[in-house]
Amino acid sequence: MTSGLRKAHKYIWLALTIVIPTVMAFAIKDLQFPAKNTQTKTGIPRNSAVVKGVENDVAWLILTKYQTISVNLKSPLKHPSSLVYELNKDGSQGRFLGQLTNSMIVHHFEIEKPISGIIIYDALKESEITKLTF
Amino acid sequence: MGLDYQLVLWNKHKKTYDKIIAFSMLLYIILFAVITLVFNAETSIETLVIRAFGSLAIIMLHIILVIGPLARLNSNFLPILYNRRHLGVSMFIAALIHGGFSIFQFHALGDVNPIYSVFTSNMDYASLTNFPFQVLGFLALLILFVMASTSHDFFLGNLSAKVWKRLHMLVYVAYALIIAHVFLGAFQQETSVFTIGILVIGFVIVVSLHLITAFKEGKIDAAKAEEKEGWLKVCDISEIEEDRAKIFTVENERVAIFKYDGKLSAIHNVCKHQGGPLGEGKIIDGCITCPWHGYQYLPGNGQSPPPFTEKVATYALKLQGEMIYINPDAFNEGTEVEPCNY
Amino acid sequence: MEIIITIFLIALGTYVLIGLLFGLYFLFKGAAKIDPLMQDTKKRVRFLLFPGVAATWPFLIRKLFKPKTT
Repeated sequence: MTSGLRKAHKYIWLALTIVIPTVMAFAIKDLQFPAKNTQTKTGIPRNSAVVKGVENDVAWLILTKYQTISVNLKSPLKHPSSLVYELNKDGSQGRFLGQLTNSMIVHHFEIEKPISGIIIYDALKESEITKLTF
Repeated sequence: MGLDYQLVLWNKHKKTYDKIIAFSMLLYIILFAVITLVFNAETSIETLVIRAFGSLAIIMLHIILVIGPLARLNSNFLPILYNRRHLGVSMFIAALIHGGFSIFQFHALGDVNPIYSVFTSNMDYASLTNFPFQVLGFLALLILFVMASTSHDFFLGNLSAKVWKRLHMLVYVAYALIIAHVFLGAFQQETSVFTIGILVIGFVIVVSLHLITAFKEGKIDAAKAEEKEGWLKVCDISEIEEDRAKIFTVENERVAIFKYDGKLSAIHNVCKHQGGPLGEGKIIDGCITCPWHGYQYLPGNGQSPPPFTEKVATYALKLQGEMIYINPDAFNEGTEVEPCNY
Repeated sequence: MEIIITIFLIALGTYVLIGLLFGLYFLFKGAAKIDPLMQDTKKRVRFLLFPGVAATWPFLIRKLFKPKTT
């Protein structure tokens, strides 16, 4: 390399040292980390009591009195990224709960306040897959 | 060097490196598929391909980006540097598979042109976290395509070394685009401290290696030599090995001063082919031979022996006792200079 | 925004289209005119170079009109 090229490389990397962490910081700042969640092979946790249950053609949804909801997909989802959000009482999209990955397991999510149901959302196509309301 | 172009400049070592690249890529894809399917047997094959090749391309890009500074810090890495082009082309292929499958899966099934759909399916350009990250990936893929498709000596010669080098320095833009693509895309849906951590650590490693090398080399460039009536003091004759060179900085440019057959000659240190350091090569059959790809120059005039046409700048030397002095004003490329006899 | 995207994509499409046409010319006729070394180079190398020629045609097309140096 000539000295000019070496200098160009140096300035490019100094610029990247500023630009890339800025992008990273802004991107991480608003990340929604999933709510506390667990997965089990079958059914709802043994020590919990079912409060409400509802189903449609996509999934079963159960609310237990330990403030956990359990979601079980009826068949594998075609969507590569299916996210679960709370459905607020006023019908708006609430807190991010987590991801549904597999129909063979039950996903359990902890909720903080009463909800009226859930929204399953395809993040890549930005479209609602389904809504389940108690 | 040659009078015609070869399909691929392969030699025994390069073939070995290429086999290692191909085998490692295959192994990664298989491991990725097995691990994904063990944890989630319902992952669709398209999703698997998109994720496996996307992550593979990013890992390869990081490796490619650290080869340059590593080779400058430690010459043991030089053999990998010679093979960097093939690694680059392989990385583009991995990225193309990732991009191709993504465009097919997410944009090809509608009634609008898939490329148009990449740009318009999400119009949230003003948002940061909901930014259409696929556009960033698409632009990065365009850059990688231009780089991969011009990874042949034909383009180095015909685009001119300057344009070629500039095109290939766009890899830094591509890197920034790809980081943004992942942070604003995959990480928004698959929020995991683990994967974010890996990319942050990767960035820290890449950027620190580049900056360490840049400052180290900057110091060498800025080195001032002792001056005497317009001539710069280089070193004692005995400090140069026979048929080897000493690299010396003259007005920010590096010059290789060769000692051979009782003579001394100085030429610009940068090979015309791919910028290899001529001063790290040696004299073979009377010619300065670039350590990178074996391009040759005559020490007396900086010209490649006929029928080849490469030329580098030459410098005048003089001896005072055992001490070598160089005139910092370079002659035009290929100018005959009487070697200094000792 | 949509206008910018449309203009960008039309420009990109035009660039690629001209690139492809230039690439075809290179493939079948112009290779040796751009670089005399191509005269003795095997034909299949041209196919390998095709994508790059299509991508960098503005730089190569200049070589067609420039008087020969060296």
